[in-house]
Amino acid sequence: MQHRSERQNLKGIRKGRLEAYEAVISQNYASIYRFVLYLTGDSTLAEELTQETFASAWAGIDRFKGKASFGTWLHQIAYRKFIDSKRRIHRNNAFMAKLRQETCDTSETFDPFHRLTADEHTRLLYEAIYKLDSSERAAIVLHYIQGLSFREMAEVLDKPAGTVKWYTSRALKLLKAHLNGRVGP
Amino acid sequence: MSNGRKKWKDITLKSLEAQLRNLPEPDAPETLKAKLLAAVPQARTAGMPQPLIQWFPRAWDFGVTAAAAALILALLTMVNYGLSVPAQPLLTEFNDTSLCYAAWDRGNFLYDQNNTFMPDNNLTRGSSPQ
Repeated sequence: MQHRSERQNLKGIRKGRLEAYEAVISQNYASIYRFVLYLTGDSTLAEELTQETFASAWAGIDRFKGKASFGTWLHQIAYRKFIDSKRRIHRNNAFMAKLRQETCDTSETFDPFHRLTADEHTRLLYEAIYKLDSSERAAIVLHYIQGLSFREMAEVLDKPAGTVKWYTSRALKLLKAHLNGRVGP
Repeated sequence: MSNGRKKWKDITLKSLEAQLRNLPEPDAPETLKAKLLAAVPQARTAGMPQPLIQWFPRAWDFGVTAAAAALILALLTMVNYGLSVPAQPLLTEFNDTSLCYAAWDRGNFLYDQNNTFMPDNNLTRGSSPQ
């Protein structure tokens, strides 16, 4: 049913119908934003990358062949945008600085990050996620937080499904080691 | 060691997987959806006229089809009415009189559909019954 409505939406987008664009945005924007936020750790950058992701999707809509779902395709674009942005700017350290700042400053601000790191337990998990390298982090976020299957992840990360499965398992073990304090920062 | 760190100390992989799945979901900013909608490329609502550049290929196709149809119609008209083709008899007269039997038995020869006609050897020698 969802697949059918997705196909109808795509048809509508190709015809330039505003309501089709709106439906696709409503279905996917929060998920894409969350994915990019987990990858970057920066809400402003996540917002920028989400906008760039959708802009690229509209520009390349004719290249979408429907092999994977539209959501998976958007994740793939978002991941590439993240890799590009990482090359462009080195903002990764900003997250750690922000975390340190937040442990001292408990004032309520409008930042999705603030809610995520509200308790120490979650903050430590999040910190450990950020100690992983970007592709390991992407594997953890895609599988456990975004709920993508290994097959869908293979599409997003452009790697064979078997490799992705092994990679996710390794990333989980590394994450556990970080949480146990067995791996240095 | 802090309380939070103690909790993670002896976590199993299964438990870690469950913790990851239950991580709080960050809310997307409310302005983001509006920004995305504003960036939709030249969205058209149904019924709006399409730009001229999109009409051009269609007009070209229509023109070519119309020209081809007109040409076919003109050719058919010329064949049926315009050309003066001399009326041809369905059967050409068999005027060859070099064989005398042919003139005499022309009817039999031409209409012998069962192939039963046997030429008379006498006739081939030049003797006509007439």
